[in-house]
Amino acid sequence: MPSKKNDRIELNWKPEKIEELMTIKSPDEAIILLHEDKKQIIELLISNNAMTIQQLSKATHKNPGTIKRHLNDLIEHRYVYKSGQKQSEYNVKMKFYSCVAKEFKIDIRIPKEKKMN
Amino acid sequence: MKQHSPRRPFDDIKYSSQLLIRNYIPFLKMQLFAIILTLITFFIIIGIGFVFRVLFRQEISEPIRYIMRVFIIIFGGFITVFLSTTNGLAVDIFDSGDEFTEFRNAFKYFGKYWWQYLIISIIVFGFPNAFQGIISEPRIRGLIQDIQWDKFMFYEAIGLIFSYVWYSLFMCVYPSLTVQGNLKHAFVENFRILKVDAKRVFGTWALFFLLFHLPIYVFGSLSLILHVPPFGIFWIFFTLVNLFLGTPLQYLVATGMYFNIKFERFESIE
Repeated sequence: MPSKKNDRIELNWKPEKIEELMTIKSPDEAIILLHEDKKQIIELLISNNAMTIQQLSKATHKNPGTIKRHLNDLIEHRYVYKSGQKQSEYNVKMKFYSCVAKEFKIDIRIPKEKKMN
Repeated sequence: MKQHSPRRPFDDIKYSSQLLIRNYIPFLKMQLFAIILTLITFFIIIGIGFVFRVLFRQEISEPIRYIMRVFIIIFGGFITVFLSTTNGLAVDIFDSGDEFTEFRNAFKYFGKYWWQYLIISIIVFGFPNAFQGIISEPRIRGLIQDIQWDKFMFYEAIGLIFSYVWYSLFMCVYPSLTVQGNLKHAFVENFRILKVDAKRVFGTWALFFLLFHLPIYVFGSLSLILHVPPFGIFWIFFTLVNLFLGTPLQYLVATGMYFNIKFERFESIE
C-alpha cells in the first residue's frame, strides 16, 4: 500500500533498456545508493535479476514495510522498477522488482572539473 | 485474474495460515489495539461509577446512565467496525502485490468503509450472537439453579451449528466489499461464490469451526458441567487461540476463497 508521500511519485515507470553500467555523478544520487539497506537491496536485485518484497525481506532480515519504503525511494530515483507480476499457487499477487543496471559506478570529483576556457 | 483448479477445504486453511504466520505482527497489533481500547473504556466506565458512589456519595443519575449506555453502544460499534478492517488487511496481502500489510492501513479501511462494515458485521456476527444469546438463556439460569445438562448441551450445539451455517452464507461479503467497494454488489458476489462452489465454502468453514470453535464449546461445556478446573483452563486457552489466531485467520480464509473461486466478478476499484 503506497504511503501518502509515495502516492505523488510515479511508481509504474519502466526503463527502455537495462544498462550494463550506470555511472552516478551527483552526490545527492550517490547518497541514495550508499545507504546501507538500499545498497544491499540493489546488490540482491542485481544478483537475482528480479525479486519480490517478501524475498527481499527474507534475504535482508528487514521487515517488508521497511523494504517497501526503500524500494519506493529507489524507484523514485529510477534505480529500480517494477519488472513484472505473477500470482502464487494460492492466487496471491506478487510484484517483482528489478534494477535498471547490471552495475553501478559512483564517479564524484572534488572539486568538480574546471571548465576549459 | 488467473484462476486455479478447485481446492480442498484443507488448502484454504493451510495457505491462509501460512499467510497469517508471515504477516502476524499487523494482525496482532489489531487485536491488541482493540483489547487496550476496550480495557481503557471499561476502566473509564468503572471510574465514573466510582467517582459518583465514593466521592459524591450518590447513585449515577438517570441522564448520565443514559449517556453511558449510548457511549457503550457507540464504542461497541466502533470496535466491531475496527475489527472488521482486519479484512482490509487480508485483501492487502492478496491483492496489493506486495504480499504484506501494515497496521496503519486498518484506519484507511475504517475511514473508507465504516458504515458498510458495520452493516455487514451486524448481519454476519450480530445475528448468530443474538441467536446464541437467546438459546443460551438456559445456560444463564444454569449458573443460578440446577439445569438439565443434556438440554443445555443441545441448545449450545444448535447455536454453534447456526453460527457455522451463517458464517458460511455471508463471510465472503467482507472481501468482496473491500475489493470492489459496493455493498449491494458485495452481497451479490457472495451469493455467486456460494452458487459456484458451495461445497468448498461450507467445507472450509466446517473445518475452521472444528479447529477454532468446537474446542471452546467442548471445554466450555465440560467445565460448566463437571466443574473440573483443567477444563476451564483449556476453555480459556482455546478462547485465546480463537481470538488471536482464529479471528484474523477467518478473514484470510474468506479472502482466500474470494480470490480462488472462479465466479463472475464486478469491476474492482484499483
